[in-house]
Amino acid sequence: MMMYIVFIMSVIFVISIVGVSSKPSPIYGGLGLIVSGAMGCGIVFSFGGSFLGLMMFLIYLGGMLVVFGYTAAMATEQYPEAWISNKVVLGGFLSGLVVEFLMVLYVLWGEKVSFVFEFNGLGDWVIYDVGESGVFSEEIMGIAALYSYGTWLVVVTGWSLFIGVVAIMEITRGN
Amino acid sequence: MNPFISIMLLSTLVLSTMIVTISSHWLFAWIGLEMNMMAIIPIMMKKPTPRATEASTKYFLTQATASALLMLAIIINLMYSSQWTIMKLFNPTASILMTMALAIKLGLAPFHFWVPEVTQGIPLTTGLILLTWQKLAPISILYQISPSINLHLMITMSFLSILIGGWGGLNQTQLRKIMAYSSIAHMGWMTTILLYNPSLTMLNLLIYIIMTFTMFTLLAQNSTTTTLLLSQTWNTMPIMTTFTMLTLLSMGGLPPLTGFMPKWMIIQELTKNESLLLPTLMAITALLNLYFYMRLAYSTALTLFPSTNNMKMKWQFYPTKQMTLLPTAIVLSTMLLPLTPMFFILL
Repeated sequence: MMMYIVFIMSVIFVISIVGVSSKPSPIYGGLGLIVSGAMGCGIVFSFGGSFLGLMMFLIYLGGMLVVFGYTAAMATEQYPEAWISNKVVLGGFLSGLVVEFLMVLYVLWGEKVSFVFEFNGLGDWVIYDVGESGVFSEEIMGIAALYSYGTWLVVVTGWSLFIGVVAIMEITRGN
Repeated sequence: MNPFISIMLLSTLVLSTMIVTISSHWLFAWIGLEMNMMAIIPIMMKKPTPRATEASTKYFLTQATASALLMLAIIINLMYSSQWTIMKLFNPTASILMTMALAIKLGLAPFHFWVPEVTQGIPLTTGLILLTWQKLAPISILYQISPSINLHLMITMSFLSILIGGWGGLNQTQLRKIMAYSSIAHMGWMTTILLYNPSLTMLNLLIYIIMTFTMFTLLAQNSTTTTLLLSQTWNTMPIMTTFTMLTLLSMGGLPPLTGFMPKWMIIQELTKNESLLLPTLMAITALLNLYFYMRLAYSTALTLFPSTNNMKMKWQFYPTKQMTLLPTAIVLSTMLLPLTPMFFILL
């Protein structure tokens, strides 16, 4: 039963990402990202990564997407393009839907739902949680280790994000 | 650009290539490549003309696609080897994907289409950075995964690059596009020998960087971007015509100039590995490259190209542009051939 819930979540994940990549206006793309982010978090939850899933909800959906939504709302046009207002977008969305539907049929009829989640058996492939200690969860301890052993990684990622913002400001400056 | 921002972006460019070359974790190498791409985009858009915007967009799209493919290859490698160390890849799918991703980053055929258009849309010195510094990071990764690269894929891509670099440059009059096709061809030579003797890839890269640096600095002296402008250098700075001719002949791979050294070593190494048809074909198609270098040298130094009469009487000013390292670079790119045994240190 649990496997089917995760399977349904992954199907909704793919459908909403198809909705993003069929290029509607950014506001509707943000809607697709929210749904796909939530479903992705659900899949991470199902593998036991409770902390990482909640972290993603908080930071990605509750921080980054909120900011994206506000800026897209500020820069939007009067009649933004939705999935049904333009034949190109609708065509892209429908072709993605058809392919996903065919895959769902193949998985369900071939009784291969467990095959889709074969990596469920590779315990530490999604969440590193099969460490030898039975006392604490390595997943959460990994995040703590990021700030102690992984200081250089924090510096590099922080600098690269900063450079990303600087690059975007420089490009959009204009003169 | 604000000098503070300019220093930050240039130092990030250096830092990112250093991160890619010294890291032992695949994620770090990927982060380095992304930082590299982010840092060079505003440098390419220093003058925000539509041409530069188009060039930056094309560069960004191709490099981002390549980074995504690289990440996929890294994750497939993780699945089959359960470790993140940068060493040979443990799965043929990962190896093929990563080779193609790095080929997109370098501009090897059949992923070469972005190189001439991006090089044409940006200023000369930025084109220099694009064609020399930006090649260091992907080649360092290719060097590290070289034991697991599929031979057929690599040789196909590199021979195709030599062909396309030679043929594509034949119809060009814009010097930046010529340099771009020259870069494609040289990348082809470099990646041919990668699976037989990676030290020669490094040698070829070093000599190529020296020669391209010399060429771009010579071009940037007079801001010449077309063959027509280059053919008027006899009037403003006559000594430049000699230097340009020598550097072009060196890039074409003629002995006794430096550019002969990597080609000689590569052909020798390939014949030692009992492949005879490939180096023959490579040497023959390098003649295409030599033809358009010769055409440039001819119109610059050996003939007076047709021009209007008032172009023939320019006032000869003292040069005010600083010729950074130009004499050193010219000597290095023409006279290094007798020092070939010295490159034993690269092994």
